Amino acid sequence: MSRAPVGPPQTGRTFVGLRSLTGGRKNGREPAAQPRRETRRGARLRGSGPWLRARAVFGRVPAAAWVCALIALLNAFAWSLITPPFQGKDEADHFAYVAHLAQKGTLPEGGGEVEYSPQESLVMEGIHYYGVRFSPQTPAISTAAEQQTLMEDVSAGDSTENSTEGAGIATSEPPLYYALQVIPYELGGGNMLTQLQLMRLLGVLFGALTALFTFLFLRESLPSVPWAATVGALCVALQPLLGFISGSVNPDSMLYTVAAAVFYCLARAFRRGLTMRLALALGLLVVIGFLTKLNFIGFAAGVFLGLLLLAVRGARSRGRGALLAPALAACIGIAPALLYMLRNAVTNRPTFGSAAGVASTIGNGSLFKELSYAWQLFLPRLPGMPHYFVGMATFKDVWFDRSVGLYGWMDTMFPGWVDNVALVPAAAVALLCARELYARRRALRARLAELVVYGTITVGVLAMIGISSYTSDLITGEAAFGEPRYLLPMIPLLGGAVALAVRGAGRRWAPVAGAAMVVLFLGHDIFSQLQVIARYYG
Amino acid sequence: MRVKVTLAVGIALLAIIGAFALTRSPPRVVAGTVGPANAVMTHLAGDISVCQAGEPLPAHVSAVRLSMWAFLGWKMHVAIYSGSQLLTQGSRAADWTSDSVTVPVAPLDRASAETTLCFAIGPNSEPALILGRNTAPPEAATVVRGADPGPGSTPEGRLPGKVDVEYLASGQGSWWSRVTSVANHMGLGRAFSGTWIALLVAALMAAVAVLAVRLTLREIR
Repeated sequence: MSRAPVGPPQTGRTFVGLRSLTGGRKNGREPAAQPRRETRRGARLRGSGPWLRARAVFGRVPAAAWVCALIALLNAFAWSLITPPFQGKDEADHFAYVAHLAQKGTLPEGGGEVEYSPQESLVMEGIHYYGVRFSPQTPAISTAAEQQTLMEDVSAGDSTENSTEGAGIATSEPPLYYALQVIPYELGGGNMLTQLQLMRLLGVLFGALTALFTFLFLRESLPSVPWAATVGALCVALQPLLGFISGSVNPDSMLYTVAAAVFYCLARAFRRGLTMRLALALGLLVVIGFLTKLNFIGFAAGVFLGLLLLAVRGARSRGRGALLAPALAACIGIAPALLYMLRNAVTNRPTFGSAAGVASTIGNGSLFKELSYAWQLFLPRLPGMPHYFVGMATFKDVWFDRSVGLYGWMDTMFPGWVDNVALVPAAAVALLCARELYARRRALRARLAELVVYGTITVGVLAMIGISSYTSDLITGEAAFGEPRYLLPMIPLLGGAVALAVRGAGRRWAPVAGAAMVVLFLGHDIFSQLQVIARYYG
Repeated sequence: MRVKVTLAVGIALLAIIGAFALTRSPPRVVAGTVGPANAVMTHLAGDISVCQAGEPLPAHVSAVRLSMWAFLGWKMHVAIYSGSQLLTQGSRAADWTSDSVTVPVAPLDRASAETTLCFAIGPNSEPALILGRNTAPPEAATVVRGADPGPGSTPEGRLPGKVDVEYLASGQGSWWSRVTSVANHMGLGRAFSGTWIALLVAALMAAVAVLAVRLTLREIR
């Protein structure tokens, strides 16, 4: 079997090379000695104060990583301008949470009901929010008179305090993302549309960080062909759903960043060992994850398994002393959950908070039904399982087709034939990826523990979606959860699949496959944007 | 060299596909109900087949849009009859969401003033909300038996009114001819209005494309 080229590690290329890609250098390449000089300088600077140390750390990040981050940033910025105000999924509720936090200094409470503030309601009326959302046939406001009315609504000076204590669907979410969003909210002054755009820009920044950490994860986990990892990260930076979510106000954008950073730390720990500093970082990331979005619970299960496996591996090779770092990470990571439960116990609330409702469904004899439901939400039904999605191939109709395109308020999709055409490149990527994995099966065996951790993270995220969907769909009688954005915490693994597929094309065709992959993702992104533009402004 | 060729061919292909897509016209409503639906016709979690008479079918209709709400849509089959003669039909997989489903149908060269539109939902287990407006009972849509309904199907009951239906055909101007109006439209509804927003989006995406290509050329070897 032909192999992809195994080039020398390119860790020497540092951020100075960014100039060559953004047009700062005429020949597009920096001298070969420059990166090494930069690295040595970075080494000299280490230990000369926190600012210089930080510069040295950033200086070690390859130029290509910064370019991927810049691409994701520009892409998400474009998405933030394309999507009309409050037409990001649940954006009005997330905005209401931030407004509540900024105005009252407390977290929203209640059962998820929301009555928006008079000012927010007025602006939503001005943009015809309720008429446009869920209605692909209804465009955004289109006349100068409507714009004039909207501007009057924006400057009406009505109360910005929510009329209820709730923030709709966002009420039960943890506060960290919303607390950060208070900064752009306050910077926006009294203009709600300016506030919203500035808040979207924070998400844009998270999009860039997600691409950056994905790059670092791929370089760490697939080091033998650095450029294939770059292609994987570049494709992630161009991924349109990441751009859309990062370009709207949604805690998912921060969750993706935290998830990508965790993947990077885990890859580094499995490859180089879990140092105390890395353990501290990993523990803090888990804390940030828990404080960002409840969905992180599913993700965290795999992280704790990873810490356990790292502890076992460390104890075998270096004795009990190696247990300290994983224990530190686990203790830091679990702390917010313990504090949360303690606070609930002290204040006579359900110990597990809003998770208690989900947990109670497992205990009343419905475990088999719940597992069957979660299975069928993603995969074909097995014999003996009750039938939950009659007439629907969920893996294709829900997850694949909607991954090809589902934007706005779940109301903007490509025509069905596009989804079918997209099966061809998707199958090609899957086959090439499988070919590479088969060819590298010995290396895979050596990294089995790491792969088990990534697999557990994936299963944890899917299980979280499945259980939440079961509760919403079958118990509270609302809707099933069928949005691919829930899968994006695993977006670094998508980058990994792309990188493996490129390598799977073999030594001769790998560069061609890599270039084709970049064009494919770029095209997907641009046509997705055109689809959204046609839907709202056509 | 092969990387350069691949990128050049790929980007040229994207440009050609994009240019071709912009020569198409956006669909326009040529007949059907005006304004949003104002009543729930039925709410169920299962299969249903419905026929409603008195539907005008203009020529060149390429799709039928029916008002119904779903988070996870279901399989749809639509058939339009003149008397008992099938004029056109189409299907849609369970791949849609939102408050309407658009089902493509084979266009006809001639119009028909009086047709019967039938649609079948199923197999389905998702909650279905069918929307429309109330009418006098004789004009209301009929619930019929079977997954392949037609005017001769056995009636099982009536809905409280008619389901909202819109008939779509190709519009008159291409997307190319609408570029300016779309750019103007993009400049509305925000804190800062103006056509420059569309230009900024174009500039951002041009920068994305240039950076992606340069990074690819630099890294792949």
